[in-house]
Amino acid sequence: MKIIILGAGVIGVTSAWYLNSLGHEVIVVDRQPEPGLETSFANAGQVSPGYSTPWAAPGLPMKAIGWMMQRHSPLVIRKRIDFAMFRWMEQLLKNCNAHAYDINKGRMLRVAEYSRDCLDALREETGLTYDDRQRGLIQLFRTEKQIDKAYHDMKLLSDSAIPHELLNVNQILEHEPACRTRAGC
Amino acid sequence: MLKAGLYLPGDQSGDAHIFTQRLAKMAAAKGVTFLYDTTIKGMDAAADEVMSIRTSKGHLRADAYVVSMGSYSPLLLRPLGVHLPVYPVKGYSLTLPLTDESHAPLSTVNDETYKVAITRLGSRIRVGGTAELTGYNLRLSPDRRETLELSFSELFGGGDLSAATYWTGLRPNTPDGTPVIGPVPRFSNLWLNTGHGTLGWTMACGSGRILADMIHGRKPDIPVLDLSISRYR
Repeated sequence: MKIIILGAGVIGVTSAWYLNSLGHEVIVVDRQPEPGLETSFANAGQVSPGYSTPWAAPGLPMKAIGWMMQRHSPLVIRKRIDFAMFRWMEQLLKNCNAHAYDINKGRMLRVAEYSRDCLDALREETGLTYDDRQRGLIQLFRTEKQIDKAYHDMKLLSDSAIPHELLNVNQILEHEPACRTRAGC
Repeated sequence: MLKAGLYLPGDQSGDAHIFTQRLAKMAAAKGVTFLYDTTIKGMDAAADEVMSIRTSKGHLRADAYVVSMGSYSPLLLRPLGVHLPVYPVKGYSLTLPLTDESHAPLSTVNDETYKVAITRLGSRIRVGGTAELTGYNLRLSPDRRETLELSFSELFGGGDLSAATYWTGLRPNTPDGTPVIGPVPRFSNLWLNTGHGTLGWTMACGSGRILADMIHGRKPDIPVLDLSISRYR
């Protein structure tokens, strides 16, 4: 089959790679002069099945209100009239319950875990390097409240059989010796 | 003071841009055609199939079409009457040259307080995070940079903030966090692989592979029915 892929970001290019390997004729179209120049360009660099969590969680609406008061908030909503945004936020809020969260988290974990295995296989098969490391991720907590929430996440990780370990400060330093454990709150 | 950390030993790190460039080069060597500098303007469709795509370099035709345009995917699909609930959530990053390895991270951490990720990428350090709902604008907000700098300098050193490259991109988020991978019911030859939110890099290889299996008519290794756009109806 002849297949046109619209977009040469990381998703378009992986799609092209696997379609080609199944014997298809593939054409990738992009407005940029090279692949991966838009959203794929400088993300946080994490390949993180363990951190694949929906934003739409039971506590999100209240948390979002709290964030609005913070100077260094993780979430900023600029006031503007945008019906696509309102509609999207309405749908997001409908997913902020425990039932939807569990369904969504399950779907995300399924794709993310499978994807990490595909990435491992691709590295093995092609010898591809990309400033990559396979050394795990640490989520760092500065408050007791964050740790309380982590216990809930650990239950979900256990349910999905994802290896994880709660580290004390000394154990953090074994993995990340340069981490400044006296960082302020 | 740090109180504790949650360690996920199965997680990894790497530069998505370098990965994409190198994989594209390998794909081209295997016969994939790449048409760059070609702006996609729209799709021409009959009642039940896509006939061609309109680009700045003319019409292009194929047997099947895959939309993987991130946040721009819903804009392309809307004229066909397909409503895809993907909205851009703007993120920012700083990329610092490594100056002193002994003060830099070895792998990747998430600063839960500011929701900022700090990752070692070879001889660079990437600091990424924050979420802005602000439509499709790509303006670089100085406030967001301050948050990234604060998180990094509280937790690590070994990188030159004054020589950092500041960047922004639009994450294609769905309201349920799950990407949209699979066919579009009304059109027999139109496929989606988009809406990966913050996890496009994490989910790229698996998404590409299950989409390819679906188009090829082969059963994917994992269940896929609940990943398609049909779940929103």
